Amino acid sequence: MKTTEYKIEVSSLKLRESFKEELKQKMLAEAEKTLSEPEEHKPSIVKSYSKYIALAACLLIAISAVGFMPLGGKIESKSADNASAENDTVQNAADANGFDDGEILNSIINDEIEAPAEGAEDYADMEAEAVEEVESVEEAFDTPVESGEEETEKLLSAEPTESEQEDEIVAETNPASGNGFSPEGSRDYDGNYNGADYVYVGGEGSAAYSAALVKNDLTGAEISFGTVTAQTLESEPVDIQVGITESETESTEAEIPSAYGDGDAVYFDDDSEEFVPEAVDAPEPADAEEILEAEQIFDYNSLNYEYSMEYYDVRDGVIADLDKIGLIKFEILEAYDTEDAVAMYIGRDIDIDTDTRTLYSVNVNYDYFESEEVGVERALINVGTAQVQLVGRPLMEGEYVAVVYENSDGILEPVPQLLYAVHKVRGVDIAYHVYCPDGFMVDPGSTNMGLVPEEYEVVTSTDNNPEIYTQKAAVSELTHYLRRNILRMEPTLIDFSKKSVPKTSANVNYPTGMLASENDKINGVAVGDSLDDSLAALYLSDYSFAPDCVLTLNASDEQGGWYVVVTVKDGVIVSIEPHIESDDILAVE
Amino acid sequence: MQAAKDIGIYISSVVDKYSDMVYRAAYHALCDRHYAEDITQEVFLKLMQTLPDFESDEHEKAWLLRVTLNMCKSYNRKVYSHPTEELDETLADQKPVGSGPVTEAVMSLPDKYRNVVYLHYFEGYKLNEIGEMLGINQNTVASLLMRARKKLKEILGEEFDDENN
Repeated sequence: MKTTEYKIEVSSLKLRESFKEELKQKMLAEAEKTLSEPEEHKPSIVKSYSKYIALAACLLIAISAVGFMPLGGKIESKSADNASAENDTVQNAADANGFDDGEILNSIINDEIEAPAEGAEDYADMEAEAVEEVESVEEAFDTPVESGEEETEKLLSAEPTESEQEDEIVAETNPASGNGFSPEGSRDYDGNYNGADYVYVGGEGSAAYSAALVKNDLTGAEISFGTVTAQTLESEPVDIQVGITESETESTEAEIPSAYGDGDAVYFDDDSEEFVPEAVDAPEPADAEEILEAEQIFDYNSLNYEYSMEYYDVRDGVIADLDKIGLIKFEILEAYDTEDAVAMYIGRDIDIDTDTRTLYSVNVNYDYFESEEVGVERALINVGTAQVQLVGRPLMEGEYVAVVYENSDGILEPVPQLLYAVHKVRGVDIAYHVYCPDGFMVDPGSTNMGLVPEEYEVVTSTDNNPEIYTQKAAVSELTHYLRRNILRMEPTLIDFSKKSVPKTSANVNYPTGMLASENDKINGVAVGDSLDDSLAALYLSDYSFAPDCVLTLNASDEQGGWYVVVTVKDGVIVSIEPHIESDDILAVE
Repeated sequence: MQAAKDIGIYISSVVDKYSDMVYRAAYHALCDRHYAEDITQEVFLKLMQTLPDFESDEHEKAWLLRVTLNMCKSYNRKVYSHPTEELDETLADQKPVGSGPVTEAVMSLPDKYRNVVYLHYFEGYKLNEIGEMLGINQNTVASLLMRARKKLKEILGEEFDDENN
């Protein structure tokens, strides 16, 4: 058996004894160094986490306070969307009345501006969601109330717990965005002007900035608390840390993104390299000159957003015309080259235009419309190939959140204006809007958190073709808004609950007229059985492209090792043809 | 003196117990023995710098593996984010070197497949554990394993894992 051989072979992979001895000596020296400086080392861990302890306490106080303070009157029962809708109106009112940001904030705090009519229609909905929202907020900041010793001991453990990670989130992501999350958002912890706050926002215009500022103060009430706490305990601002990997923190220098096409890019940290102390060691912020330099180097003029669409243009002008849509998080498993993609569609009379588009196999991980985890592999097609590149397309491997629709061939296609790359920043999923020529300023629900220059572009999927990011938002907040806002249109949704629906085989002719008798059974599988129930008995060599049409698939009996052709319609087996020679079947991959 | 003696014993035991594992994981991730040695050293020095308080051997093992894989990921990012001369210098001449035909087949797969194959088939981790370790969805791990098996079947000419097929 190959796995046994593999184990034997890997077991023989060993380090040289001399290397081990040398390593032990180096470790001993390192340990002595560590142990000889306990006052500096150990306390540094405590110090690093002490801000979280204090932060936790402060958050508890803050959350409690929200329950009692009449701040805004409705904050304790306000959902993110409610706040977002209110922000829209606030912004409109601001535009109409010429309020500046400070006045807007004051108006909100004093409840002077009423919720918008559209928002009012949804108040019942919002209030129902508000409980959940508040609960989720409280849960997110639910730091265990333990004794100080227990807390310290826990925080010193090697691997952070969920709550610890969430605490990190508060400390890292919010101030890190440096985008005006507090009323004094333009200032860092020392009260100095923070140029990073305005680098991107200024490019968008003051309206976007105002919305972000108001939004952050409202829905990000908890964020403000985190910022304030961090200010009191951490003298160094952590604004630039978002988007900088552990490797970059070594140099603690902010990387300056090159002009589009140069390939030098910033990459993101999915996870901290280790769980403790360096994870909270904030790098030095980029100085104003560096930021200015980055702004100048990054040529936004190279991006075309002359015909940019706002979110409601996209919703009413694009999404409204789609038959079946979904709001999903997916992960790219594989990008097929043109030859493979064409091979998959032989005999299906489908023109998938692989000259300009790339076919991907993706794993759909979450269906936000249904609010449930799924685990189905689907085909997705998107513009851009290695030969015909658009900005940031073809997509690079990784996770994305997108509004998708199912085309007539049963293949998913993302709505280009609502496609977001997902990067984990200290444990939080952050959605980065992937630049789209006609969707540059789309900002659903004013969830935009603003970007610092280091986040403009990441590693390239193809040479000199980086994904360029134009906005970012917390995935939870963005999807919450999109879900509710789009569902209001009562669209037909894609059903992602059908698991492991088979993919069509490449060149096996569709076996019309081969309906088998209901008495026929192959490996315990019979005509009329649900395909899902039969999956355990049949090894499927491939997976689905189209869930609701007649399919032919290759399957094999595990014991016999021969192939069968199973025809499926609507998830039910309608025929099984045994003993197909494997030579007759062209492997899809 | 006692502390130094204790740490010496600990170092000796942890290196004897886990250094090969760390090396193998790094080798699977990087496809290069020299870099795997470098990463192994970095991981154990990191262990000494932090001296975490592990709850169990499993915790310690998982910590070491996760730090290893994250360091490898960072390394790969560095290389692939500068896809010019650096990439040529570091990877162009590197042929997958395994200790046998099956390992060579595994090493010829993309790194995302190699990691899950190693963690599942050699270290014996379950899909959900691998998902947590690599920070990816469990279903994605299942898909990656399935695809890895399929690719290995094409390379080896027979099933890699009869039991799980």
